[in-house]
Amino acid sequence: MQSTTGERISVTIKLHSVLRTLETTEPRSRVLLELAPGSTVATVVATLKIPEMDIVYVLNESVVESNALLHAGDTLALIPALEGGCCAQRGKTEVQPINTVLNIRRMS
Amino acid sequence: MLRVLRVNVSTDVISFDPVPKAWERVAGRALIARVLLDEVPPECDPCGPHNKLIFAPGVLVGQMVSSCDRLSIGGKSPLTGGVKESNCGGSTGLHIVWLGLKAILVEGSPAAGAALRLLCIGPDGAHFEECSDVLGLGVHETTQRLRSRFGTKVSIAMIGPAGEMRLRGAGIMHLDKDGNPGRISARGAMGVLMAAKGLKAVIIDPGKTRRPALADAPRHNAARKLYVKALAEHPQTSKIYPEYGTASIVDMCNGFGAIPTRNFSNGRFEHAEKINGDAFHDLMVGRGGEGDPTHACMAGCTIQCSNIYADVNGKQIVSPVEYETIGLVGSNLGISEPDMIAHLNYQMNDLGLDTIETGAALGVAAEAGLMEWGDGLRAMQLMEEVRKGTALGRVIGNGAKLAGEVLGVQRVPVVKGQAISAYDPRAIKGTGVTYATSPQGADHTAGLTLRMPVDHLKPEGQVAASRTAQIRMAGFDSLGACIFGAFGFNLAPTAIQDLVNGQHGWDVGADYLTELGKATIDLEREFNRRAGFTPADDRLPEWMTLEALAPNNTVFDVPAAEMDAIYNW
Repeated sequence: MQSTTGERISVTIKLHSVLRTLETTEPRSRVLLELAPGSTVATVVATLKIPEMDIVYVLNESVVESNALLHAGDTLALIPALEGGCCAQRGKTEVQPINTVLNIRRMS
Repeated sequence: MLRVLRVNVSTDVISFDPVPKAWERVAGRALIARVLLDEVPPECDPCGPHNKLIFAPGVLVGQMVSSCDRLSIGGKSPLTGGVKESNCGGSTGLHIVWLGLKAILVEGSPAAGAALRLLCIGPDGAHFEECSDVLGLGVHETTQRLRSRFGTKVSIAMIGPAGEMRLRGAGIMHLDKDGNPGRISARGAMGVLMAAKGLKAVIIDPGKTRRPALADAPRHNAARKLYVKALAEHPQTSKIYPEYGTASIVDMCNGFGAIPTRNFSNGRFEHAEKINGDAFHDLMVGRGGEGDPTHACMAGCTIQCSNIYADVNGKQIVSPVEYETIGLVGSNLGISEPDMIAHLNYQMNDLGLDTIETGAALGVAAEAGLMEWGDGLRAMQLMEEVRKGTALGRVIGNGAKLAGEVLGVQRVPVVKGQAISAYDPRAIKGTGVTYATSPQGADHTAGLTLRMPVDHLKPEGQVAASRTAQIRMAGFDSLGACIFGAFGFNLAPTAIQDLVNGQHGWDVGADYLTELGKATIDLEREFNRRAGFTPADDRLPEWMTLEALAPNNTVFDVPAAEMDAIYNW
C-alpha cells in the first residue's frame, strides 16, 4: 500500500524510444519525479500516464516487476519492449499436438 | 499450377517439373527440410555435387500481404554440416512465386576451374550467362552493373567476394524493394554453397507477371484486412518498430545484462546509450537527407522496421542497421560510435558476409590481440584483409569457430559451428536452449524468448519457453512470414488459416502454424541425425557453463537432460 506520509523521495526516470515523446513534442530522456514514500514502479507508470504497453523496467540496473518499491535516489528506466512476437501467447508455453494434415510424419 | 525449377550445373540441363505430391503443402523452411531428406544424402560434402542449393518461398508468399513475402534459402550447411534454412526479406521470394515457381533447386557441381556464372530466370524460361565483368566485385558494384544489364525491375540474389572465396561467413545478398542490396540470407554459409554451384548471382526477372490468382479471394481479402488492421493497432508494429526498429533492443538486452560485450565477456555495455535505438533514431532524423528510421524491406510491408542510416551530410551509409549487427559489431567489439558500426556493416554487406558471424569472429580476433577493443579502424582494416583474401582475412571471414581454432582462443561463442547472436544465453537462458538445440545451430531467429513469461536468469521453464518459440518460428519461416507479423496474427487469430486457405484452396485448421512448425523441426532433426549429429551437439560451449556473466553473475545451467527432451511432443 502506498504511503502518503513522510518525506517525498526523488527518483530519476529514464524514458526510451516512444516514451520520450509522451505528451511532449521535444524528446525527453530523463524526468525527475518527487514521489510519496512507498511508491512503486506502477506509481511511476500511473503518474506519467504511460499508455498500456509491454514495458521492461530496469531499476538501478536490475530488471524488476511493476510492484518493485522505489527509494530515494533510484534510477528507473522504462523501456518499451520489442521482440519478434514468439511470446505473443503469453502464459501459454505448450502447444497443441501434431496431426497428419501436412503429409509429414516423423521418421523412424 | 506451380512448378519446381531444377538447374543441374553439372550438365546444364534446366527443367520445369511438376511439384511432387509430398511437397505440395509444404513451402519455405519446411520444404527445404523435406527436399534435403528426400534428395540430399545427409553425409554428403556440403560443397560437393550431391548437395543442393534450394530457394523456397513460404506458403503465403506472392500476394504482397504485409511482412509475408519472405524467402527461405537452404541446403546442407558448409558452416554447420547440418540442415540450413536462411531467411530473408526483399523482393526475391515474391518474384519467384510470380514466375509460378514453388522452388528452385540447383544441383550438381560445375566443371573444375569453371568461372562463376549467372542463372537468369524469367517468364520465358531460364538460362546461364557469363559474368566476367562482376567477378571479384563487391555486392554494391555488382548490383549496379547487373541492374544496368538486366534492368531495375529484376530481383538479384548474389554473393560477394567472401562467397567467391568460399569463406564460411558468406551469405547471399538480396535487393530490397528500392534496389539496395541490404537484405541477406546470412546464416550458415549459403554464399559458399552458391559458389560451389558455380553461381555469382541468380537474376529473377518477373517480366509482366503479377500476383497469382487466389483460390478464394473474398476469404483471403477479408483475412488480409483483419491482419493489417491488427498490425496498425498494435503499439509495437504501428509505432515502436516503424520509428525505432530493432535497434531499440539494445536497451532491453543491456537491461537484462545480455548484450554481448567484448567477446561475450560481459552482459552490459557501458556505452549502450551511445548505440541504442534512441541514438540511431535521433541521428537518422537529425541528419536528414537520405537517412530514414522508417523503411520497408519488402513491398507491401506496413511495419517498416528497416531503416536507412546516413552520414553527417545526409548521404546513405548503409540500410538497414539492425540490433544483432549493433550487438556483434558494436558492443561485442567495444565499439560505441554508430557511424563506425554503420561503415563496418556496409563493408560486411559489400563483402557478402553475415554480420553476426563476422562480428563474432572479430571479437575472437580481438581477444587474441589482433585489435584493441573499440578500435573500429582496425576492424575496418581486418575487413580489408578479408577483401584481399589474405590468410588473416580468410581466418576471420571463415567465422568465429575457425578463428578461435586458428588463433588459440577458448572463448568462442558458437553452437554447431555457428556464431551465437546478440543475446547472451547466460542471461536469456531460454534463447540459450534454442541456440543449443535448434537443428540450425546457434540462431536467435530459431526461437527468441526475450519476452517469454519466465525468469531469464533461472534454469526453470526455459525448455518450455524455447519449445514454444521454436515451433512458432519454424511455422513462420515456413509461411514466409516475418515474425513481426505475429503481433497482427495474434490479434486476428483466424487470419493465418484464412490467408492460407484463401490463397491455395486448402483446408488447414486453426492449429496449422503449430503443426507446420513441429513438422518442420522433426524433418530437420532427422536430417541432422542422419548426418551424424547426436545430443552432444545440442550443447552450448562448455565455457558458458563455467564462466559467470556479469552483471548477473550467472552461468548457463539448464539441465542437459531437459534440453534433450525438448522435442518429445
